Amino acid sequence: MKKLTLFLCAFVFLSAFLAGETVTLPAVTSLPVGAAASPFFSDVRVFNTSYTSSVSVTAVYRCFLGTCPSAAPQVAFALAPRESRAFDDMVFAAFNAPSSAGAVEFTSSGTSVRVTSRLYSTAPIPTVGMFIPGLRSSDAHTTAVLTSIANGAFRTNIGLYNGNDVGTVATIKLFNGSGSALLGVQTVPLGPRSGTQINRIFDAVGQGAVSTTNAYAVVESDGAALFTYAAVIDNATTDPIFVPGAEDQRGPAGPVVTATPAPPAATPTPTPAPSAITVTLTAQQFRWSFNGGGNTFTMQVGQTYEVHMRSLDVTHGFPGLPELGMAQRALLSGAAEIVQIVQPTAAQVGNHVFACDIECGVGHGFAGTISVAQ
Amino acid sequence: MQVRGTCPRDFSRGILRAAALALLLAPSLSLFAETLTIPAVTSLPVGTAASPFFSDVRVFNTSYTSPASVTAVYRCFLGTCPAVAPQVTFTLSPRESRAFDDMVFATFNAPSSAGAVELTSSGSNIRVTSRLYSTVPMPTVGMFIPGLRNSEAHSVSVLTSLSNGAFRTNVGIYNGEDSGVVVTIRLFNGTTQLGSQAVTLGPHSGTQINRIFDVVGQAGLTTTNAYAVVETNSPNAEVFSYAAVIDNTTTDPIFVTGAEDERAPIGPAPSAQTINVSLSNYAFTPGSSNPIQVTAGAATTLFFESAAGSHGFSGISQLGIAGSNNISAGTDGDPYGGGGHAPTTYQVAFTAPASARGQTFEFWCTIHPTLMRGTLHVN
Repeated sequence: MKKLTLFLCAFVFLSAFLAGETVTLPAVTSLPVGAAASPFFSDVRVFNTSYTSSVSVTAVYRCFLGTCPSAAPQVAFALAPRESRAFDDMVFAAFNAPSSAGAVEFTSSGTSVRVTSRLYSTAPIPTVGMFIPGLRSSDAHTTAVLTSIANGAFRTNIGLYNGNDVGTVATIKLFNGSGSALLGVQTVPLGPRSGTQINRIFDAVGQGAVSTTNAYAVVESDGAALFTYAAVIDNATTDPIFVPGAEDQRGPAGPVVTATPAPPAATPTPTPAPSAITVTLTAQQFRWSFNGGGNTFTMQVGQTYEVHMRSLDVTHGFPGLPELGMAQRALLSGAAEIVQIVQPTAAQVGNHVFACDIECGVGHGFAGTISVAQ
Repeated sequence: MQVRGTCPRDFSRGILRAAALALLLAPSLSLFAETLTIPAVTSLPVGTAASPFFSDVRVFNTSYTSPASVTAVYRCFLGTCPAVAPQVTFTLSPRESRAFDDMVFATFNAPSSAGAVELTSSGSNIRVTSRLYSTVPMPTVGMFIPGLRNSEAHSVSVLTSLSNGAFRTNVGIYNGEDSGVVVTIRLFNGTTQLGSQAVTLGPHSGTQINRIFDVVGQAGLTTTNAYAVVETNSPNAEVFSYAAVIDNTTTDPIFVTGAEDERAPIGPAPSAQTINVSLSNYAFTPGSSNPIQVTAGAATTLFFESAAGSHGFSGISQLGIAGSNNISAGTDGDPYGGGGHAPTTYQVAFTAPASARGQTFEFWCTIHPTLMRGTLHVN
């Protein structure tokens, strides 16, 4: 018994010294110049604080947006004492995964590694970007709050990364002002070691017209600690800032204590007219498909159509066809269908072209057509 | 035997003590006041000589049930500072996010100044974020600056992702303690120490060193992988540090927060060493092909002797090593001024500090500064 206790004691102390630490960059990307979307890159620096010991680091790229490799690429390297290693355009140069985005996990023995990065764009202005720190596991939270969120002159993207080995479901609640106005809710499933980014969160919850510089978002998981962030982007310059999620309190059970107006119908599910024809419109890299077929669909004047829209892979954007009464909607990865009702009139006869308006990879901007005929 | 018997007993005692301490502290934790510090805020209005910069601050109460009383104190240390630190006290309702646009001017009435803001509240429910931005030449570009907890102040911190050339780098420090401190900033590129700066900071005060590469005499250096170590003169003195790395084309900045670093180790005093360095054929031997290797803490003498020609030694200012312009072989047939005079050697003594361990320093011949260069590495 004494030997066992001794062994356990030694094990605890040894574990404390030998336990590896993982530092996570929750957002990295490489979208090259020439792609349909704006070019974005991540320059990463990894530093060894030790004056005496080299440190071995394994970096694993957890891709979850764009053209992802079939297996998670990884590189192992050693840092000499006090070495700062540069990984410019890391996603492409180190992981050979252009036109993709995700997170990078850096695992090393000990706690001597520091990671910093800049994610930046070279167009329209070279360069504007944001600092993204390497985050410790203690920076992941089951409930997090993102403040300094804006819409109107700015736009806000919200990102989540699940660094756990099991999947989880996260709920994003968007608020405005002094906390009394719940603007909308989004629920997203996250696989293990995976994430997502919801671009234009105000649009995604049907609040694209709201102008604010003092909104906040609460991200709650079903128990897993998540890394969360907001990228708040000046629409005039495309200059972003990176707001990391701060630990928040879990809301009390039951109704929300603050006065919460009913959110607008971001994903309406109206009762269809008896004669409505159901049409599916799916988006996937990089094409629209009506009823599982081509990217063109013909509607007859006077007929009611119930258009069920969703994404089959990453997040895409339906830009809306105002002339047909169809609103702009974000088609989130893994999210439920969005339904819109269309009843064309004679004045709308003709072709109505739309294109994906949320950056989704190298083939972003793919188009579809609704034709209205007599 | 004593160790074998002691370990489990102490281990279990330690757990019990920790548990007791946790129970003791748990109820009182919520009573503690917590201070969050924004280490860089400013209000430089349009029309001043400098570019306009502003800080928009957000303060959030995470509690669903309790309001939070917050006192915000502006610690001005650059520009036109008020005589007394301005402060405001306000109350946040549960789940309220309060906006303070252009906080330095609108809240503290301190235009044309810069500094830090300390936000103190009871409990730990407050979250603080901010954006510091410019409206010229493009409206707007800016950087996120978080409200930092006291645990994010360090006696030694490292700032990575520093750049110069296409970018410029400003380094800032804020001392949130009640006593003054001396802080040394050492700038590195690779293992080469580019230079250092020492600054004295009063209590609740700070500074920002703009264009740190220029300040240490390295304005011409182009790099995107430099780092700086910010170290206080006492392990008990902790400061907030940051770097603003700015794209010179767009003026877009990023805010790099100082991460905890290790203090350079202090080992036993090593024995004295003398290193003979031969100069000839545009080379220092050792030095040009291989670095001169010295040991930190060792009393070191470098003895320079020219085998052919007249040369010089630039010295290494970062280590306090003086140079010479006159190291001559003085041999017959020397086409560079030798012959007819006695050989001239040069020796210099120094002790490399422990903080220089692991670093490489450049030097050169003062007569042939381009062709004849070398490095010295501190072990």
